[in-house]
Amino acid sequence: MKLLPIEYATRNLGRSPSRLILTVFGSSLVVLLIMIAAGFMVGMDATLNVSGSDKNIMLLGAGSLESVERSEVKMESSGIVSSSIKGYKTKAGVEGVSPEVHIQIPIDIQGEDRLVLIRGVEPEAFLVHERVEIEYGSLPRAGHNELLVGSLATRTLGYGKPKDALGKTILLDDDSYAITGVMVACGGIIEGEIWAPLSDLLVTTQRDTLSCIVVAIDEESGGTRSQLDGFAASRVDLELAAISEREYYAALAEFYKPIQLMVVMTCLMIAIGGLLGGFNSTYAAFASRVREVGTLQTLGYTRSAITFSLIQESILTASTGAIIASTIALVAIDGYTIRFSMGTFTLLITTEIVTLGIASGLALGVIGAIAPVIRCLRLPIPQSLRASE
Amino acid sequence: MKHLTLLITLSLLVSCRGNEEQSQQKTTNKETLPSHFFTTERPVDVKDLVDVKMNAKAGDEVTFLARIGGRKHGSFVPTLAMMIVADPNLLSCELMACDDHCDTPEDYCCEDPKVLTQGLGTIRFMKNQTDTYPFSVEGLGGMEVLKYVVVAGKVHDINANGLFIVDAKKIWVGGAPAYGDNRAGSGE
Repeated sequence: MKLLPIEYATRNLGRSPSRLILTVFGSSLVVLLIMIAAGFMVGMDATLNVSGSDKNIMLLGAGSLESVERSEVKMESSGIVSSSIKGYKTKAGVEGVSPEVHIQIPIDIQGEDRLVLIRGVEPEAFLVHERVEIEYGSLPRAGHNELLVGSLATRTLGYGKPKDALGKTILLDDDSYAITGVMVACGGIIEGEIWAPLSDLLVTTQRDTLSCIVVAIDEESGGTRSQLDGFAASRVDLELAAISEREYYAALAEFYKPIQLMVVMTCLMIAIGGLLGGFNSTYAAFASRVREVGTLQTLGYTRSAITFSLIQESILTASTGAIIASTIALVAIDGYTIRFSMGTFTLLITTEIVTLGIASGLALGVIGAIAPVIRCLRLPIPQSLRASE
Repeated sequence: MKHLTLLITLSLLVSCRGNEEQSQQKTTNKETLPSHFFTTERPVDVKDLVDVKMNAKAGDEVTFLARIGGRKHGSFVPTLAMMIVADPNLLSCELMACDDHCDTPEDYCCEDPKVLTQGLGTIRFMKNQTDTYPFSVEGLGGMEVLKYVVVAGKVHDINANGLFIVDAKKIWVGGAPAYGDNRAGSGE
């Protein structure tokens, strides 16, 4: 089969610059939306998947297994847990039993109230949540209204770089708190939180109950999950229920599935709009070339060779759009923070998503060429040659 | 191509067989409580849980009527022979109306939490003096949430805040009540 040279397809692209721009814009929009939808899902899943550990068991208020923020646990429960349970992690005299308060507080940031998850903790929290590391600054001191802010939470607070947050003050329920440190947690949900000393947060929020007690079990010392299940069931007076951190965050991820689906559907619907627009302009570009296609056939080029050339042309346009979209996604979208009720996560544009974007662009090129190719080649040669431009 | 088809067929057969073996193992590994824990003869003149709990102290031999439930999806401990029971006078949601307005009536969500805590008890099935059997008792001997049970056993621990742990010696399992007949299934 004698093929048309690639230059033929390339030169044809420049015949109508405005049409070319429109088609490239359409395909880049479609690819960008596909990549954003995928980045949203991957980013949210990544945040929730690295949050929590199987070895950390959360004791929540009975009936509040779905939401730690709704949960209420009696203050004295923490001491009862640490004295009744064996086999939890200990280090340098610190017990792996972390009493915590989780509360969403609106913080005034540049005139806008933004809900941020504040976690009231004691030093035990750093033994239990072992992924947490202080990146900048120092630990907040109890009684001094000081805070440790997650690296993603600094963005919610309006700071470009996490380090910029150090030394700044924020108001929590009219109490002024100073930021003394910035923490990271391997990309987990904690990076979107703010940690305060438990006693300070209890005073500020005028609360006298905990949200949960997190116990870090140590299997080598005989610690098991069933011990805590048994404890929760036998101490009905404490009104507790046990769930592993991993299960809790998995349930949370399941809860957010419809929202993920909604985002994907919205992106897909907009993408379909862009796709149809792109198809329309490609169709118009090719349909006006029926006579040219007839001429090529009289010159001896087979229908397959012409089809191949037209698909090449369409792929060149669509893949240009895909490359533009991938560049935008990597430069502007990757790492973009999104706040949700449990904290903050970032849109992740991974290698797989870039591959998906490029593959979508190529697929668009092939699919977009089908209808116009049929339109161009369906007529017999004499009729094609008589067709008006 | 023939070799490829053969290979795929063989691997499918092997994986199916593996699943079969696994499910057989699951069935044979199913643990159960010794039969001496269960009785089909319901004790007569049995008091409700709260009436017994009010005057009980650790070490007492007690017999009371209760219903299995008290926690949402957690009335049976998944890895221990332990369950939570509630006083028959506490109202679970399915007894409040004939419609199914609550997916988990066993959590007694419409009851006052303080009253609920005082009306709950924990039943343990002990393997020996110190250890509970290491499996869930859900479904064993017909034990299911919302069903009536009469428990005879020894009080292991009790306090004024609502703690009430009983080590079961005998258990009679009845049925579940229905809207309009709160004591149906209690054997009374």
